[in-house]
Amino acid sequence: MNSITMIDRATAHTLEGISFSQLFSWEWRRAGRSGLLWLAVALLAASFSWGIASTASLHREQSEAQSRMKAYEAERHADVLAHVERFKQPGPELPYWQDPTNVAGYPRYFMMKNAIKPHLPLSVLAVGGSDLQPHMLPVNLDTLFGIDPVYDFENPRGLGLGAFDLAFVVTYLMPLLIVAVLALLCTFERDRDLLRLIAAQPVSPRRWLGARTLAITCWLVPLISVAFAFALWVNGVSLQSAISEFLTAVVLLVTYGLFWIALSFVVLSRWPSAAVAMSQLIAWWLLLTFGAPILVDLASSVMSPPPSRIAYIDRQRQVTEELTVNRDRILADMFAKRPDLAHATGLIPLLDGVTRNSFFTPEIETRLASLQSDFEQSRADRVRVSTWAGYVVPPLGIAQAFTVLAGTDASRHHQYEAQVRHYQLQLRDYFYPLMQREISAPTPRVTNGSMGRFNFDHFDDVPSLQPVDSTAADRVKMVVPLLIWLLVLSAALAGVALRRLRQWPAL
Amino acid sequence: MIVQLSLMELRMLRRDPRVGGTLLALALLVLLAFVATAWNNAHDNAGKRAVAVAERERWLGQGAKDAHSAAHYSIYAFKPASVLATLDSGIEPFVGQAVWLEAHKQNDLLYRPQGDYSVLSRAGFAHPASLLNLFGPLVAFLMAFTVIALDRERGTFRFALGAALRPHSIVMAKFVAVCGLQVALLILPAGIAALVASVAQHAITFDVVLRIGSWVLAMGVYLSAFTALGIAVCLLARSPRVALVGLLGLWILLAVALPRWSNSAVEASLPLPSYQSVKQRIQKEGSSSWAQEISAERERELLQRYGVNRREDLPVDLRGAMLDMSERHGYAIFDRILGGFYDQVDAQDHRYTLWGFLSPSVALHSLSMALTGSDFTHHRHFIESAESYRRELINRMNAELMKNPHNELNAVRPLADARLWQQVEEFQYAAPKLGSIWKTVQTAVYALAVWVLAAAVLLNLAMRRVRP
Repeated sequence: MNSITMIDRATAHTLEGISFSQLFSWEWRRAGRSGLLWLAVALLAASFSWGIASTASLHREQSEAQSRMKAYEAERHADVLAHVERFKQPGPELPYWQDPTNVAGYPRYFMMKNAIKPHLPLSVLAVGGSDLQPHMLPVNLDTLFGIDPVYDFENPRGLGLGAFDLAFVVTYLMPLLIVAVLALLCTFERDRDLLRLIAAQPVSPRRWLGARTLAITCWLVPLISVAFAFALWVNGVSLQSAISEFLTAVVLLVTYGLFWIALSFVVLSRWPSAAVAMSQLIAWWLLLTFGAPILVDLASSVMSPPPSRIAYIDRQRQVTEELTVNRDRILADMFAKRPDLAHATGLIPLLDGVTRNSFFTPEIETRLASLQSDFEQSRADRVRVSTWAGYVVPPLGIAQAFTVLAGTDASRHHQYEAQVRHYQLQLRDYFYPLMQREISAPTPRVTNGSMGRFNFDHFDDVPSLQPVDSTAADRVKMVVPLLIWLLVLSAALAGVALRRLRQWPAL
Repeated sequence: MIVQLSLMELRMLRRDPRVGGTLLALALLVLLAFVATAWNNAHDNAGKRAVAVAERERWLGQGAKDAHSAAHYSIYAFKPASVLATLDSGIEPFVGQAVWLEAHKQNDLLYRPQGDYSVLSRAGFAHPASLLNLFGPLVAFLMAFTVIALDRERGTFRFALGAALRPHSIVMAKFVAVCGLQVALLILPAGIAALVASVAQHAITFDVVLRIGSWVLAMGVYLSAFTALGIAVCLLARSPRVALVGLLGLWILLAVALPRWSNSAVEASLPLPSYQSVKQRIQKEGSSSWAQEISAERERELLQRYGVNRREDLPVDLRGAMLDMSERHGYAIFDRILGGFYDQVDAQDHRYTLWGFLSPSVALHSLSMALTGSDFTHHRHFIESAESYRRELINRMNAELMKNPHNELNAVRPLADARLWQQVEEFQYAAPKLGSIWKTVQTAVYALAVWVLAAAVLLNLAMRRVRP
């Protein structure tokens, strides 16, 4: 330890005349009178409100579309039942694609099933993937791997730009306002050459800058929390059914704010001018919010490029072609392996397209399984990289955490897709045996001369989707590690700043 | 004299580690984004070309089959990424890349590169134009702050003004130096790289050169407007602190917040109908689910049209004619409902561009996408070209069916073969020329011009107030 440091410490110790609480209380009163602070909070509150309103509007429209789809499904079903009654009448026999009472015709041309992904009560927290990924999917027997690659067309310019949602305000704008407030309020004396005067007072630099930073923090943190709650209230968001997500979001918000305050504290502990402090803090902001995500995404794409969908189309067409060209031979092989169909190979040329697909669709899936598995693996890898990157790059982590609490995250969507696939398989398990039984043991016509075939009329026995969603506790559990990590990081940064603040700068 | 002063300012700027570091970091990021986008696009386009060739071969080699089955088999069309999407990816990652041109349906383009969402992929989405649009103004402000506000704080600015014969020329020299540095380090390298990439991909045409030139010009004008604005703010501000707050506030407002906010304001004021409702309308109006009633109706109509009472007396094939009627009925529905929906997307884009009068970043965003062929206008052009090809293909197949009447019950129809498939030409897509998109870009051009004018006026006013 050199002598200068020893003298500094001794001097500081003897000159600690003003207590921290006195200093803090003075700074707190002074910070509360800062127009800049109130302007920043007002801007933030307005941005929170707008962000919530725009997300609420998107999700309301999607929920309305889901309700309309449900109503349309019911309308179609009623229409089917009305036609079933009509087709009991005598008349020319209908082809299967016009006949809902034909077990081959109904699931392909008349059954309408859509799997809905409902929005969670606090979905306004983040648009997440809800503007990009479908919020309902048609469930058809022939869709390969269950997931129709359809999507709701949102304006792609807006998708490229990104939504002005709450997560955007929290992740990008809030840190800018926090660092601006701190950089300007904590460098006032430095820019006016007043530090020398303060250094002559009986107060240590740690105590002086610490008290000011804490005073500003004690304004910022509650005000930001109140602005957040106010924005939710203004937009009429009901918190009753999502209180745990709401409280977690508040804690996340505060923790993320503390991270930026701590980072600012580190920069300010070097006693820079406002210009230098702002430059450095904005450089950090750019690095964390844009630079690091761009570089990580680039690295992840280069190291593990996603499989090509175009190559998938090519392979799918090849497989379909192979099956079409050798259609009857492949079916004969399949029939030969089935005791109930082994004697029916002579009927193969007479099979309708839908019944034929009940054999071919699973076969196509088997032949494309490795490609599909590559896609699923690549998608899971990207989500995993994204999750881990969230710990290295806090803005990414916070954006991710908000999507988890909102239920607009990638994991929930993948769970939803898995359920859609499961449901499709349930439907296949229900219809395929019925269709295939008609080959070897056709249902006798019960109504002679009717237009309909009437080998299927158990419309109410068709399985329905029973969606299962993760609980609020699950979602909260998913974000807790990040929350703890951010607190540790903030404490470490504050520690670094306090350690640096052992002496006044040589001005 | 301004040239000499500018060169001197350039030397001074080069020595400033903050300015040099920031400029170099952004220039490197822009080039990195360019290389990544160029590599991806080249790779994807090569894949699309190869599969398009395979599709054509499959179409020609599909063997003998019913012409309507061939219409269902049909082909996939692949949307090539614009050669200049390396400068601005625009909407490319958010729209489908392939469309199946089958009978009865105008299918959507599927498989969006950004379709598999993750927070990282969304946050890490960047291309040269997005980087320059967002960070270019910040760099311009930083340099303006360095050459004016910090000079003022040090007192060197006052000294220089006092010694100058024409004080305005000092400010103009700083403006020229800052703009020159940005153009030289940020914009020109991207433009040259785009030119080289176009040559390497054998895609260089006069139109491409014109588009690159216009893009470089637009970027230059954009950053010059921000430079002028930055210098004016620094000259007008009482102190560097005030200048800094002003510049930071302007950057957050104009480049960070307003583009996204404008987009959400457009969504709120001119919402798109849900796509599900659009599809539902198409399904209802073009419904073939109860084809039994519809086909009976169409048969009656055809018998009436040809003045006969029995299907056997029709001079055309009934099935082919009914398919043809059904398709043409569908075309009208697609044009009206889907075309109307796309008109609404266009209207949204136009409304968004109007916000360019409030933020130059919005104007540049629209303009850059249009110039590089990665906006919705170009995307729609592809959709319509592919749809037009589909209709020609389907009409040809139906015409083949119609010309050979086989209207007796249980009639056996002859199969079509390669001779028919060859009559359908290969799908070749040509993007629209720059001259044809003036209507799309004019609002953005005017908005940018207004900003340049406003910044020039403000700079002039600020210069008038400068006293040694």
